[in-house]
Amino acid sequence: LVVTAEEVLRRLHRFQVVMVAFVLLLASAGVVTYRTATERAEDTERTLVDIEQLRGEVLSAETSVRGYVLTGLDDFLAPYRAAVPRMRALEAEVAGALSAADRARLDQIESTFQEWRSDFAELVLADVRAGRHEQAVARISTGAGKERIDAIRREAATLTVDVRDEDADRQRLADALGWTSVALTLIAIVALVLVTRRMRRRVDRDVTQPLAELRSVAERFGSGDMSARMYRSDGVAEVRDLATAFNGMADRIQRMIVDLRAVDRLKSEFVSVVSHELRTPLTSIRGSLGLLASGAMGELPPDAAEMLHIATSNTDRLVRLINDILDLKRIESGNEALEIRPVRVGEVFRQAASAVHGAAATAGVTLDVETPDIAVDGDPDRLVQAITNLLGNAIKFSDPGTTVHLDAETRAHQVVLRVRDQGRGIPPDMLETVFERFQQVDASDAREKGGTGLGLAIVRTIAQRHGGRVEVSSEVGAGSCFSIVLPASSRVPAPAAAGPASGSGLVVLVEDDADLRRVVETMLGRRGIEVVAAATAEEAIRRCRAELPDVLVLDVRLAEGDGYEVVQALRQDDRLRVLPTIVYTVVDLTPEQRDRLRLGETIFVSKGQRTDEALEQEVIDLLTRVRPSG
Amino acid sequence: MSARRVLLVDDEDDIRLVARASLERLAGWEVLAASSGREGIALAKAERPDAIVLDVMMPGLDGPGTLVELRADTATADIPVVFLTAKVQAAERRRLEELGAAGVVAKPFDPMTLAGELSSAFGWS
Repeated sequence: LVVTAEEVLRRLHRFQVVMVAFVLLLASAGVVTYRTATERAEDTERTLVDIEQLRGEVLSAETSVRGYVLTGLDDFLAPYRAAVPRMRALEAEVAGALSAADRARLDQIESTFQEWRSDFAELVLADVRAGRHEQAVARISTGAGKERIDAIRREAATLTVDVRDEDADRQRLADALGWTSVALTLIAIVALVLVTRRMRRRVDRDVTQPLAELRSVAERFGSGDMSARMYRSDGVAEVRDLATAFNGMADRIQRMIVDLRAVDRLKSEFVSVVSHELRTPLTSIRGSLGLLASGAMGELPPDAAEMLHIATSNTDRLVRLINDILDLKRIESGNEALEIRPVRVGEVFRQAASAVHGAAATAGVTLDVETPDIAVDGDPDRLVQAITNLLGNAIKFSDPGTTVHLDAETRAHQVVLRVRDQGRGIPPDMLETVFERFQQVDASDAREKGGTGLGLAIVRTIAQRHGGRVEVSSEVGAGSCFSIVLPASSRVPAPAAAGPASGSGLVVLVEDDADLRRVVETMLGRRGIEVVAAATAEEAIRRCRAELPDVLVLDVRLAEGDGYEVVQALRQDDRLRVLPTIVYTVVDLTPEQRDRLRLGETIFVSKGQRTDEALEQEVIDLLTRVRPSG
Repeated sequence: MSARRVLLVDDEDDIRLVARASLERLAGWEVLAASSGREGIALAKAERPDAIVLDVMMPGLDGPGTLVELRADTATADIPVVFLTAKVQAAERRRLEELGAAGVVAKPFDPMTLAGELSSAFGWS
């Protein structure tokens, strides 16, 4: 038998209505009984008083007759004369409240009184009036009058007792009725309590418990137990329907997840297959073309060499495209977990800069790389990839002789990594779509610049997977600025461990502060780096010309002359024009000032923000980059 | 200095040809070639090359399997191995290096720089 919660509630409601009606009925019956009993009690009191008065009238009438006989005065007869109408009035009043038997008694009293009047009192009065005194006394002496009066008295007493008895009977009945209502009300209340408790138990068993179990099943399912189902088959119909619906839903979700996992596996396999199957033939093609172009197979005619160059560069483009597509898929799908740890932005910048070093040199573009002492939580490889993409892009769209700037700044809880170029810029209507796939400002870019159209999409995906975002601003003709905004690291990064622990090479150190000079000299010397120190501009120029160092470390303010003077002089020397340089200064430099201090790859390090260890690391890194053979 | 002797194991004929041409003509190395893991192991035992370049995905015994067998045999255990792979994920690279590879070179490789990349992986100056 299927019971619905609705049916249970309907029954409960019906029961409630019946019980309320019953209790109301009992209550009104009680009230009516009480009021009736009270009214009757008042009636009885009045009746008893009236009977007493009636008796009094009879006695007064007898006394009145006796007084007249003794005195002969007519005045004594007044009560006698008044007795008849008074008794009539009293009898009329009492008769309605009496039972039939009592009314008969009342009639008996009346008729006995009339007899007393006609057969005794009137005769005595007539004797007295006629002066037959002795005859009147003799008539009284017979006791016939007294007999009748006594009978009336007895009847009245009996009547009083009867009325009292009847009243007591009624009172008892009313009491019984009252107690019965109380008992019935109590029974009704107990029944109500019992039935309510039974209903509650039933609701608990058939609704609450199955629902609680269904909830725990749903929670298990939600936390990943795909086999969780509702197996209970009791409870009200609604709960059972809900359980059936839940089980159906769970079955479908389970099937969908199985399907999705299969699709996911297929996708991974596809990526792997594409990766292998496309690269394998490309490896042969790229290798053959490279060998031909190298002249290893013999000298080629210029036309053929040009064709070969086209084939080679397009093969490279295809390889890049495949790499980028696979990269984007991999990063987007999240299959490759990011290895998040505190990362020094300066280190990311150094690695990215060294990756595009060659491209920048080929394009005649200067890289201005700041290496700020800021940390972010990130996957260093991915961040380097993102910055490398941005730098590569900037270099691609920069004219020879211009500069690409790479720097970073801290905003509230955020770190902004910025790549700025002085290229042709991006039209405002393109700004929103540059991060979309295969969106290039000019359709010919893909061919001319060798881009895949995926570089910026990869940058955006990397930023997003780090909980960050990308921003771009641009002015047509003046350049663009791409930013990666990342959450700032709350942790302190491990000491810069990347990069070589020691270096080798020759450094000219230009610094007028003798103490600082000695500190840096000792530090670099300990790492196996040879340091030639200079305190003045003139000395610096002379040392550089004589030593032809690998790296120049230059302070801007000097005791004699300044850094600008040194750079200007070295620019005149073909051997020193592209000398890698670290400008180490307390002065905040304007872009123009920076341009005037640039030789080869130039890194600006602020003395205020950086420790001497940081400078040391910069020198070692720069040396590693410019002397790859180590 | 006598010419380097390198064993190249790859199931793709074309890739073997290109790599062989690159290493022989541009670097002047002597190249032994095998088209499967099994053949590579046999050749390594017989010829004792200076180094082995091993393709990762091959039918039958794959690159990592081949490396494990090479390491298990005292005759070939010390020969440095560099993997050649089309899978360039960092995780894959680390997995291969943990197996004991001296390095990993990505496909497609540049024939002009292949010898240089292998040299630095093998620690040859």
